[in-house]
Amino acid sequence: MMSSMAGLGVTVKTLKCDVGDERSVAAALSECNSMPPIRGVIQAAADIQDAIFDNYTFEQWQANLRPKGQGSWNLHRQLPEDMDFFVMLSSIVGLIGHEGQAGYAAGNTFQDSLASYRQNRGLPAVTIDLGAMLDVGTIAEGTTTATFSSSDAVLLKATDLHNIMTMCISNEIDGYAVPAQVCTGLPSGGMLQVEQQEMPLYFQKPLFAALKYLGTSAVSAVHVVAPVDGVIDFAAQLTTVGSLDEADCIVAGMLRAHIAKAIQRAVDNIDVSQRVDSYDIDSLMAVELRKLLGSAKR
Amino acid sequence: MKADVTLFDILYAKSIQALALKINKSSQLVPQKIRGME
Repeated sequence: MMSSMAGLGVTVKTLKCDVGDERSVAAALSECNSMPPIRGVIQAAADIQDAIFDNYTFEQWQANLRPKGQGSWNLHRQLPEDMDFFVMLSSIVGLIGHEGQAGYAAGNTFQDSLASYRQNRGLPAVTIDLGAMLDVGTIAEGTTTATFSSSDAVLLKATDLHNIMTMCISNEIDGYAVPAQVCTGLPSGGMLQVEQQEMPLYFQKPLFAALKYLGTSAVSAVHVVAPVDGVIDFAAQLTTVGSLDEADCIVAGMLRAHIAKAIQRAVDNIDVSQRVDSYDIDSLMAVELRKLLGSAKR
Repeated sequence: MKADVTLFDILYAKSIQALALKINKSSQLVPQKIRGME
């Protein structure tokens, strides 16, 4: 890679540092003073120390946390604020959990939170919660004991990661800014249904409620009610449901649509695992919503 | 939706998903036998 980049006229400099040691990071960055300003960072450091919790030592916990927790924080503190991108490679393990990887999961969730913290301060940041990689990374290299069943995760290829990375660096997905946390490689309920696979245990968590029903026949069946003047009649759909789960899916969809309209954002930006008031819904808007919910209208 | 929810329910539900469940539990549009299901 080094020689191919040099062939393209790129000046490449490799430096060693302990990202978990802030002074070491500062020293490495000081060696870049003669180079053009730093425009971005990709934080890919990790120390995999898998162990079931009963055998998990404090040293392993520290090793897990150091590069992802302290290391990411050190980069946040030491790198300039006016960069174009700050990408951290996190993992879906932080979201769905995995046996033997408690510390690794904690490190990943720290990175997810750090990305939100930075974005809220107007700084560039995104974490990519990577799923199971087929051809590169710790699973392919055999440096982790983690395994994923085909119902837990969709295998990703290096080319998928490159495309995701391009979007995160350019901070643009289909005309929208990239959110602080980009989750990859989780199957939808519809995909598992087509492949006749069992639903993973993590689908029981409310966080995955929308993903669980995405593309399933349960949702498709109730969506046969045609939109009238471009408006979906959620109330009519409710009368056709076969389970409370289907009803929840329809009403959650209706709430998303109304909240999105009220705050003038795309429906895709409304996360059903978040509170209503997290979307700046004030009491007046809530009154309107309550009025709607009390009527039999759409 | 013909649902009986308060402003408190809307603004302080743990999540949009939890609010949807609350609405369906009281919505007269959802068949009674479905509303009783867990």
